[in-house]
Amino acid sequence: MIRNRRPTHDLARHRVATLSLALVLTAVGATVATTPVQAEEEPSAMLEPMRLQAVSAYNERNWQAASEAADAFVAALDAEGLPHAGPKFALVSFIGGHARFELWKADPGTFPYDFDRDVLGAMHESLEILQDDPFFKHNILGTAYYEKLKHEHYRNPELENKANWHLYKALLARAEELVDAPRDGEDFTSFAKYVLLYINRAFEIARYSTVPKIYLVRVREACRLGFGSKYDDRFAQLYEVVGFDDGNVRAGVLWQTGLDKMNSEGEPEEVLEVFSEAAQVTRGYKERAEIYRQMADYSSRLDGHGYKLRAVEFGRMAFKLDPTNKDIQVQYGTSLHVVSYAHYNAGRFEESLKSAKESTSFEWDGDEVAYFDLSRSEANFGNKISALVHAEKAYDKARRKYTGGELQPFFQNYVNILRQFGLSAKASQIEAEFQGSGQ
Amino acid sequence: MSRTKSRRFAIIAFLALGLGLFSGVTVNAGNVDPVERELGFVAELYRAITGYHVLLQGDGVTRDMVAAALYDVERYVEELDGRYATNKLFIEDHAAMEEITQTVAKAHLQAALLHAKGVDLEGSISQYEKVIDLLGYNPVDWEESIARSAVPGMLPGVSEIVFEMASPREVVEDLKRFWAAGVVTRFKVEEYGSASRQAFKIERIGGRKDPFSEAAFALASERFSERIAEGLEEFRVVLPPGRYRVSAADPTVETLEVALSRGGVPDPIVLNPNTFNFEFASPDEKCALTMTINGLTVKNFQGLSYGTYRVRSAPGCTRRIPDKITVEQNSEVSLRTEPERLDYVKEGQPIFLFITTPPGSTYTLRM
Repeated sequence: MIRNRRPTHDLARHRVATLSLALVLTAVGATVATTPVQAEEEPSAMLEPMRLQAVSAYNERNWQAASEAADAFVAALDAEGLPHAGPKFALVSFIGGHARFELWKADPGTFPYDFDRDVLGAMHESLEILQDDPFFKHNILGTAYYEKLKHEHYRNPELENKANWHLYKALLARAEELVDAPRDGEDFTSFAKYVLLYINRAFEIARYSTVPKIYLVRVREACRLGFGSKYDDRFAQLYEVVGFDDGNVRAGVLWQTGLDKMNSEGEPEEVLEVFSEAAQVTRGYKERAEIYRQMADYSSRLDGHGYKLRAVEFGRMAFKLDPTNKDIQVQYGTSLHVVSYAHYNAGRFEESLKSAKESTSFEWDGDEVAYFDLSRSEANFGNKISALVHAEKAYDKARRKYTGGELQPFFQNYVNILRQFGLSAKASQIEAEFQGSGQ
Repeated sequence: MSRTKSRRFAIIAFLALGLGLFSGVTVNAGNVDPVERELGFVAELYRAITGYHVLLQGDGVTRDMVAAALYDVERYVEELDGRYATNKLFIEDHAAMEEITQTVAKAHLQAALLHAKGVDLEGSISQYEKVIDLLGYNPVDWEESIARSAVPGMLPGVSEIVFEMASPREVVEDLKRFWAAGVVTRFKVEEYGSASRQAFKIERIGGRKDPFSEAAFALASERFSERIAEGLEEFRVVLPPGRYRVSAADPTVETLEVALSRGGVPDPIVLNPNTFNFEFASPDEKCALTMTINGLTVKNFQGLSYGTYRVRSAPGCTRRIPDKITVEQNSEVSLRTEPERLDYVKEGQPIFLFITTPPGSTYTLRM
């Protein structure tokens, strides 16, 4: 029955987890089948239909019915003066706890139970007695803690520690089960996905935690479980990023979150917001500059003039923090070039000139385009000498790097400016040299 | 390894090492003997615990950080304890079991050290007691190498951790230094009703104001409240040296002050709404007594708290007097102390008297 059902909740989405629970239920069911029929007045006989009802509802993911059946089972147990003991009680207690958790998750506002006692408490009580299938059970329990923590805006250190531990303990248990499994096999790959899910959650928690640095250890321990899997590169990246900015885990987590959102084509504003947050919490100026460089790069690739302007702004911030960084110089200069070029094409010559001047205020690999922009903007305002000097400089720099079609615009710009200012003879000389050079 | 050799060296854990280690284990896992595999799991859990040293090192370690790190460490140690208990049932290989025992003991020693660094002195002492239980002997004689501390190495991005290794003897010395900053203090509260007890609060009204003492008191204060809330009638709390006041908003609760000194072994502190009086029958003024209770000198012998009094006589007194008198509340007077009653105690040995007396009564000390 469970095997063919598509799970709807987060944790049971995984086939292994679902199968594991099915095994629990089947095993207990088998025990019941071989138990001699009890007289009707026997408490166990009275309890048995309730237990079966709880199991059946749980298998059908009817959380309301499962929860009610578990309530009835425990109430009947209490009425008979029977102890909260034995594997059957433990199973029903876990079912009750999990079912109530699903009810809470669906609508916390109308939840009629006490979360601590009836969700967490019930599952803990169960785990004291019945410790089979630890991967599944600790995953559910950890998820309950995690969701409650999230509901409280990640501001509860006790829930945070417990969420982390039970989610991690689930992974430890599964890693042990899979110790003989090939690391490139289906089971281990599924497990590695769970480890990545754990790290995603850890990142989310670390973002708001009062002690983000604890995740330097927690995340790295989890990464160790995933090494050797198909996602080895990703685990190595995550292992490294929590050490970003000298172990400033919150900055590292935000940095990675921003990169992930960017690479998955998230909403640009959301991506930039996460990057901004990362930059703000970063302590090292080089690390902060790197984030601004990335923001400049990202913005420059987005459509819209506003993003081009923001690329310049981010590039400027990066450059101020780390002016000797070659990548930052290129990013900042390129952003200015793009803006200058756009202004020029839109006829905003003053703005174009301003950006071009800024982009030639420092040396960078590729600054021939900046001198190109500067010269033609200056020419527009009749600034003859500067325009000629800068057009020649752009052409000279370009000649050292480019040939053919790539060199052509620089050559043409220089010639145009020469002619604009009545220097046709010089322009012809340059043209002759250009053609003579085989370009 | 020789126990006399100094084992102070550094381990550098690189990311690459982590990758290699785990890949290696996995590749060969199919052929690994279950006992060997169990040894591997136990060793991994122990290794994970040592990773927390780097978080409790240096300045800027917050209470939340300590709580989070110690929470994890305690869970790892519980995990190891669970495995140890199960392994004892199923592993017949004595050498392997001994190795597991040693690893679990090392984990508890690490936990003792980490708790001490996190100023949870009580937790530290409890963990240390487990080390002794597991080993069956004092760990100072243990031939092992223990990670004593860890700091990030020179490589950027905390991609290496440098561990300082030490012998158990050195680690125990570290622990003793930490523990000396705490005084194990027992409280007895059974004479108060549950409602009154719930209102108890403990304040630190004197002593050093260094971060260690303040953090240790904050934790001790939490433990005090937890134990009161649990309904315990007698419990212990490890407090940093200093002066304390136990009081409550409830007017029926008598405020009590206590002074704890570094390295001291205080008598149990008795919280009791009732009092009694002492009267001295001795005509010998040379033997005028000085008494202290809870580290404070008694100035007035009326309205005294129940508890243990430490007694000193004036320098010229030749009579034998008790070193301590413990007074408990009871409806009857259990002993009347007279000089001749002390003769059975051998010369040079301390004399401890235990007496009971009803609330409001006057107890006559005939000595």
